[in-house]
Amino acid sequence: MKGLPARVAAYLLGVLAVIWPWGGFSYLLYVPGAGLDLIDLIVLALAVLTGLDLAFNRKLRLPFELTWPCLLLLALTIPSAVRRDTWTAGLAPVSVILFVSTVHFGPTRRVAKRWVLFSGVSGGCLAVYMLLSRFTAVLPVSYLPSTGLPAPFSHDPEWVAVTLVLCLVVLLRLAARRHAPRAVRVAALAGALAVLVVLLSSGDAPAFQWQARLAGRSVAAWAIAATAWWLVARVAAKLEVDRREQGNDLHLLLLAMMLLGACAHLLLPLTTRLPLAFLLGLAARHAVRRFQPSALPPTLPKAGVAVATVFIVVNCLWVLPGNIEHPYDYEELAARDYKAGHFGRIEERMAVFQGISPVETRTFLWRARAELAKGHPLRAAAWFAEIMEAAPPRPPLLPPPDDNELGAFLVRLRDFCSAHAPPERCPAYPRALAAAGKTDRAVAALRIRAAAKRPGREVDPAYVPSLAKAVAFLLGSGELAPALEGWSANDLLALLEHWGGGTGSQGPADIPEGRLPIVAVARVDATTISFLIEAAGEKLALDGIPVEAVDEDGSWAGAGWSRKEGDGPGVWNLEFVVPGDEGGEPLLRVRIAEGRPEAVTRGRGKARGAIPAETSLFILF
Amino acid sequence: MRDAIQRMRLERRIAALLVIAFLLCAGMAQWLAHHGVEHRAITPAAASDPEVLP
Repeated sequence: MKGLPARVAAYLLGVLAVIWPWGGFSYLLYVPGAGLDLIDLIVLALAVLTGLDLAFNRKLRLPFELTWPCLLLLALTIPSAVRRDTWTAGLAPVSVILFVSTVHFGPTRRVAKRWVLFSGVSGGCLAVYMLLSRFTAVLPVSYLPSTGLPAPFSHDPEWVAVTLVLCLVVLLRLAARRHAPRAVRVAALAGALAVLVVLLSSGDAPAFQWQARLAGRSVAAWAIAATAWWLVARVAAKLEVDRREQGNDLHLLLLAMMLLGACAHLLLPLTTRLPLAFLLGLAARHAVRRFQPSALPPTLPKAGVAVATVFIVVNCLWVLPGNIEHPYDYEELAARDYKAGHFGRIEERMAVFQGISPVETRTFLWRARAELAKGHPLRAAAWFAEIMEAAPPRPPLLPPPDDNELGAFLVRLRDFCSAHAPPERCPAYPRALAAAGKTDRAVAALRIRAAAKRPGREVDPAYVPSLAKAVAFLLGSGELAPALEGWSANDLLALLEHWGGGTGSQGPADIPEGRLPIVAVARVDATTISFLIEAAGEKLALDGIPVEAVDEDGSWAGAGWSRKEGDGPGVWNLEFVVPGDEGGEPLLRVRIAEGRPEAVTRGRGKARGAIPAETSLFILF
Repeated sequence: MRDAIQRMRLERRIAALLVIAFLLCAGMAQWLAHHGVEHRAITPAAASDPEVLP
């Protein structure tokens, strides 16, 4: 019984030696139910086993010169962890305990050497995984919401890069071993190549920042840093002295890894990392010769590694409940952001996901919900229409929205349009209905709106086809046009005026009578703007001008159609201007001569955000 | 015994040198951060302002 904790701990250390490079992808090692990843669980188990072993045997296999810095670090970091009550703050004392456990239960030199080599191989596998996820987009990839990077880097790109550099050192050493079998050397070389490709070709990983936390630190923080530096330096010094006496290549390997890890920790804004404490412990165990191992750990803990592999495969294929760091666990994260009102974050998250897989209707639903919650019913309806029109990939990466969710969104949209005055200006609901194929209900909803208002003038019945097409175009459904052509021109104009807010205006006197009405409509879809310009049966349409990222509402003041003098008699231009980076350059310019739309020119202006309904119409009588 | 003491002294001397090196390294990172020196050692075409997920 007395030796059991040591045997179990030695086994767990062996597992940790193989899986620590995957720590940057903790969602792949997630253990359901525990709410932690496998590395965290092993570290907690090691802490408990160390306590048990000390209670049974009353002997710590750690030299005094390394014990006192550990005790000092524990004394300094535990109060801070308790006071701040955060997981990150708690990592510091846990790292110290892991270091002590690793030295205490550490393996023989021969086994330690194998463990380090297996670490390198595991890092090579990680690099291959990253390359596969980068080029296939089938395996889960992480991303950073604000940068919009569907990168194969994890949430923790700095640490993954450091991990890969450390493993690269090992792989290069393994590839350079003269006595190793040829297959092993080739495999190590391939792994090193994969690591190098990931490190050098990841152009979409974020730029790293320099460590800038040195100044302004408290005395306690300085004391913690100084003690940790001394501990690392002392272990490195022990390794170096031992190497001079009876060195082998593991000394150099561990020294290189230690110094690289220390430099990374000093230069980059990395928080405390458990694997670094493990590697430091392994180095210390290697340097301290006076203690014999309490148990003989296996060279390769096959069962433990198999379990870790199963976790990685399962977490690759499925999002287990509670695995909130899983990049495909968009649902839980999005629901959390939605509840907290972080709609911009939802949009960023979904945009990033669309970068991986552009036609995922699930992301469209979340964007529609976010737009509606932000008070943009038209854009919400546009995203809803995208759900209906999109042809999702087979099989989709994310489950498409079901009928209940779509129905619930329609109800929410209807309530929004009813609750916000004036409801007549909200064509979003009929648009969503039309997109959902509920044409009859859409026409009924439009009829109610039209009946509520009357236009200020009598309209020529001959205008009906043009007006019906304008309404149908604005609602994004050409199927509505035949049904609307049975309406009176007065009703159609009433509908358009109440959406457009006084759109009718007098045209230039030289337009031939038969050319009227001239109708210009701009419709904002989810990611594009489309235009329809029609004059007496002649139609010009321009579809799909991309819309850039959504701006705040206020940026659209002054947007809309305007009439400009042309370059000759009877010629004038109709321009659609948006305020943007180009200083109000028109997004679209239509040349109209003798009442006939002749040419459409795409302007240099950029479209951003949502066009309010009242600026999207231009009707000339 | 004498060897052990000598080894201990040597360890302390190397450790002290390393601590000084660490201090210089941290100071250099601090200086670079304050003087706005960007480094994109691993990712040349990188975007800025990374935000880490909770």
